[in-house]
Formats: sequence, C-alpha cells, structure tokens
Amino acid sequence: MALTMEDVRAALDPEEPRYDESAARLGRDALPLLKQLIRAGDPMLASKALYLAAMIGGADSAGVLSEAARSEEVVLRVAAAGAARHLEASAAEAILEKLVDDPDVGVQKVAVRSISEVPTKRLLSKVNAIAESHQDRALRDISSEVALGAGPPED
Amino acid sequence: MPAHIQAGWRWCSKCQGLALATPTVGPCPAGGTHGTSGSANYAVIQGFPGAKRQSNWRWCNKCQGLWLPATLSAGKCPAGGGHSSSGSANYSLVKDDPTVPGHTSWRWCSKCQGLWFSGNATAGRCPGGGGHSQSGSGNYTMAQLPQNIRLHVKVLTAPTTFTVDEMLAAMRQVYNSVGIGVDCASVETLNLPALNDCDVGQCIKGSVTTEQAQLFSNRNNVATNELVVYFVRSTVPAYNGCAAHPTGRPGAIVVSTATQWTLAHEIGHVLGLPHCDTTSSRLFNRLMTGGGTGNITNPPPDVIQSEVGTMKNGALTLNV
Repeated sequence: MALTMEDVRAALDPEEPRYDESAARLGRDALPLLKQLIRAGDPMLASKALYLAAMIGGADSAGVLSEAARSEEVVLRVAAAGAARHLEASAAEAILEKLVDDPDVGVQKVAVRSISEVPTKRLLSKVNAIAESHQDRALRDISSEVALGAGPPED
Repeated sequence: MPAHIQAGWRWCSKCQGLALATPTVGPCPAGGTHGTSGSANYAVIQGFPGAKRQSNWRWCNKCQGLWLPATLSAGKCPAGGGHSSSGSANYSLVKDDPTVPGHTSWRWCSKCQGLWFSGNATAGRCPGGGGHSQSGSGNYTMAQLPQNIRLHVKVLTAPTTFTVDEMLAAMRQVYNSVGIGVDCASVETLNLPALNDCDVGQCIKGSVTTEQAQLFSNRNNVATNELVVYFVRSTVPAYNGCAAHPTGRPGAIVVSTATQWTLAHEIGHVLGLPHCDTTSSRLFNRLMTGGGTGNITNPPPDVIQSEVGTMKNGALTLNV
C-alpha cells in the first residue's frame, strides 16, 4: 500500500518522535512527503521532517537538508545542522561547512557538535578557527573539545 | 491543619475500602495489606454532627478501616472477628448532600460495616464474603486534600506558538480539574546561547546528555521537591519537549514551537506518567497520548483516576 501523509504525520506528531524506528519503517518512499512538510511553513513539523529525512538517507535527503541550510528560519538551520551528522560524509560536509559559519551561535554550536561525527580535514579546520577566535566562550570551549576529540583529521 | 480534621486516609485499590495509612496500612480482605497506590489523600472530620452529617463512624485499630457500628454488629474485620472502635475518635461523614464539593460515591457496606468506594466497576472485596454491598447505604462525600506542584520557569527563548502564560493556563485546566494546583513559583531569564538548542539525545528517562546536565545545573536554589521547566529554542534532535532530567533535579525542557499542552504533558512524565496509548491505538482525548498533543480532540485532555493517583502520590505533589 502506498505511503500516505497520515503515515508520515503519525511518525512526526509525537512530542518525542522515534526517528530511527520511523526511518526504518517508512523508508525512502517518505521523502517526497517529508519534502512537502519541510516546505509547508510549520517550523516544528519541518524540523522533525528534516531529522527523519536525514535518518532515511540518500541523495534526496541531502537535497532537502541543503535547502534548509539556506532557510531564513533559524530553527530549520539548527535542524539541518543537527540532522546532517546522519548523512554520508561527503553530503554532510557540504552542509556543515556552510552552517558552521552561520551568523547564529546556536546553529554554529550544533554544526560543531555534528562535525565530531563527520571530522573531515576541511571541517576541522573551521572548528579550530572557532576554537581560537570566536567571541562566544562556550562555543570556543565546545569547538576545542571537538577538535581535541577528533584526533587526526580525515581527508 | 485544624485538629479536628484528620488527613492520611487512603482508598485501597484491592478491596475499595478506606483505611488510615499512617503509621501503617492494615490488613486487606483481598489479601496482604491495603494497596493505596493511586489513592488521593482524604481528610475525615472528627465530631461536628449536623444535618446531612452522619456521626459515629469509627476507626478500626486492627484493619485501619473506617466503619459504622450498627446495632448488635461490629461487622467483619479482615484482621479477624468484628471491627474494633478502641481508641477511635467519633468521625462525621457528609451523607446525601450534593451541595458539598468532594469525592462522591462512597458507600457503607451492610456486610462488613466498612466504608468503600462504589465509583469503579468493581464492588471490591468484602471481609464478609464476595464484593461489598451498597444496599441501604447513603451516598457519602469525602474531602480530598488540595495538592500543588511548584513550578519554576527558566526562559532561554520565549515560546512563539503559544506563550508561557498560555501553556501554564492550559496546564492548569488539566491539573486543576483533578485537584492539583500549579504554582508558578518563579520566572527567570537565562542567557545561555550554547544551550538554547539543547542536545537531548534519545530523550531517555534516567539518562541525560552533557548539555542537559549543564542546562539543569541552572537550578538556582530550587528545592529538590520542586520542578523546573526550561523553555529553549529547540532540541537536537527536534522534539516538542523532553522530560529526561538529572537525578535530584526534576524538570523538563519545552521548545519554542511546542503545543499548548506540551508543558502539561512533559511535567506529567516528570510526575511519573508514561504514555497512555500505543502506535496502533491512539487516545487523542488523553493528556499523556504518545501520538502528539497537537492532535488532542477534546480540550482540555483527560487524565484518568489511576494517573491522578500516580501524580498525587509522588514527592513532587505537595500538600497545601
């Protein structure tokens, strides 16, 4: 039976969605429906849809996260930064490279945390720069922690 | 509390009777001792006879139950023989008076002489055999002691879909309807941009992330039996809220785009309530639905008696 929006909403509506279970159950057929929700304008639902899309994976999910990374809605950019860690490294790197330079400290922080899971050389270079010179002390500390914990950067 | 009002009486879920739970619970005709989990804290008045007030109810020092001595009968006591009134005060109960607010549907049992709750779909267990009888009984009203939770609000980001006041009002609609007050004890603004999109991991009870531990360390002298709610911009991953908290620091996180019922729902978790339904069978008339409080169909959503008992019996719900 074809997946419906009702199926997707049943996965996303809970106060505490179970993203991994829902990704396994719904699969890539959910991605077009998730894309609709991400673009529909409800930031709560769109954020959740981004996480679920990332957990499902694939080129389409990277595409919606990339789009969300350019959103004017900061909650969506946070979600994109947090969800990116679940993508394949090459797709995640492009998204996180943009978001780690976001004007919002919260977005940067979440991107830095995600980089601990995607510790490429380019991304760690940005994290090191934040650790050395960002004006926000908490972000500098988190960045130092990620940089130290990452070990030798992956190319 | 005035000396003539005695609190600490509890309903037994096994026999449906009323028993004084301090210092110990007594023997239950259903076996073992009375089971008072899920019961409210009832108060019984000593003395004060009057119209629609029936006096001469007694406490039995063998079973801890409340019973009405009948002519030539001490009833049946689960501890054996008849009830005892030795050492008991003379209690007055409100009888057949619908104008008095309180918990109704309490009955006298003509077999055991005890007071029991007839409002559930069971006649409980009577020491006289079978279930209790309500034959010949009036309708007694019992006073439940008011209880409050004390909630301290910490705002990193003011919620946008519904305001803090709207969420508190929604919470009070639900909680007040079951006799629990919500005392907003303080409101504080926190400037913590690094925790404003708080990493909550899988939001698992009893387990917190580093960021949750850091956030909840901003408790600022709140007592251990009081609750804190942190309003943040978002969580990572995206949830409406998360009730996981460090041991000894009860509280929850609610995000800026949460529903009006999310606060009540998350605090419900902190008070010990699990989700009330399953993915295959959702109950959207209930506060503790796991299907999303944005889908609630009958505002304000319901909290059932067993849930109320759990909320009221915990250390975080305080007697006023």
